[in-house]
Amino acid sequence: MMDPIDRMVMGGLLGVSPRPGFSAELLSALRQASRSPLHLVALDHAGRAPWTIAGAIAGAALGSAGAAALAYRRYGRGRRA
Amino acid sequence: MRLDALDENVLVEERDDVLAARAPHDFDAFAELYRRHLDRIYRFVRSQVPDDSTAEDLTAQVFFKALSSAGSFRGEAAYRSWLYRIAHNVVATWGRQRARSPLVVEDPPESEDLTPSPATQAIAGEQRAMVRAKVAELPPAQREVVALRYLEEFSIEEVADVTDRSKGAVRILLHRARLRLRRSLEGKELHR
Repeated sequence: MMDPIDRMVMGGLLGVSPRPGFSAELLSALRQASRSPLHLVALDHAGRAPWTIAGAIAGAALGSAGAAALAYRRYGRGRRA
Repeated sequence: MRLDALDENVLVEERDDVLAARAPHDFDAFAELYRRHLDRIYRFVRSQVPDDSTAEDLTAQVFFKALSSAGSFRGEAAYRSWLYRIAHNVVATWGRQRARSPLVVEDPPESEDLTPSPATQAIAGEQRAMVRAKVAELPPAQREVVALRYLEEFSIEEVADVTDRSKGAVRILLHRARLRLRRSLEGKELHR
């Protein structure tokens, strides 16, 4: 039987989920990055700061399985709401 | 379109290691892995950082790195362990860059599956927030092993592998974290 403290900690940590829409936005950015050796993806979080992920995949696309590097940059931190 | 639907069903039934082997040249396989692990990785990252926007940034980094280095997964460890190692490194790098500022806990927006009355939900929500605040007060190394143990139910060996520590060190960190959490949480019941 689980210790009550363990249960509390587990309950606290598990009660967190990504905001609605985040999963789809990030998946879309990943899909775009996978299609292009160098792709700039701009994501606009509803009600949040716009942020940009610059995904520069070195080498050819993923198919080459070559060396790859990614650069991420965040800007425009000012929250809108 | 029927073929696409068939492909999707096949992917859903595949094991992680099979999908991971396809991921370097098949984005749909990677996307299935992403769907399986996103929430867990987000929860782990969120438990290590002070706000939602940082958690989103770092979670994005984890999956971009997983995508770009998909070809380096050798299947020697479980895919989730491999992914958590990336998350560990991303959070560690962020922590170093951020220096040693204290965590300010922001109550995350939650999509919870509570069915009790609104009052009960409010109390339970407060308690969860309180637990997260106590976890956030732990030193970073303790916080990390707690998250890996409680969120993923990783074994001591898996936590050691992900965090690049000895099993003994992980046991000590976990023991100290539990003692500290027990002291601060004892007597506070969990309303369900």
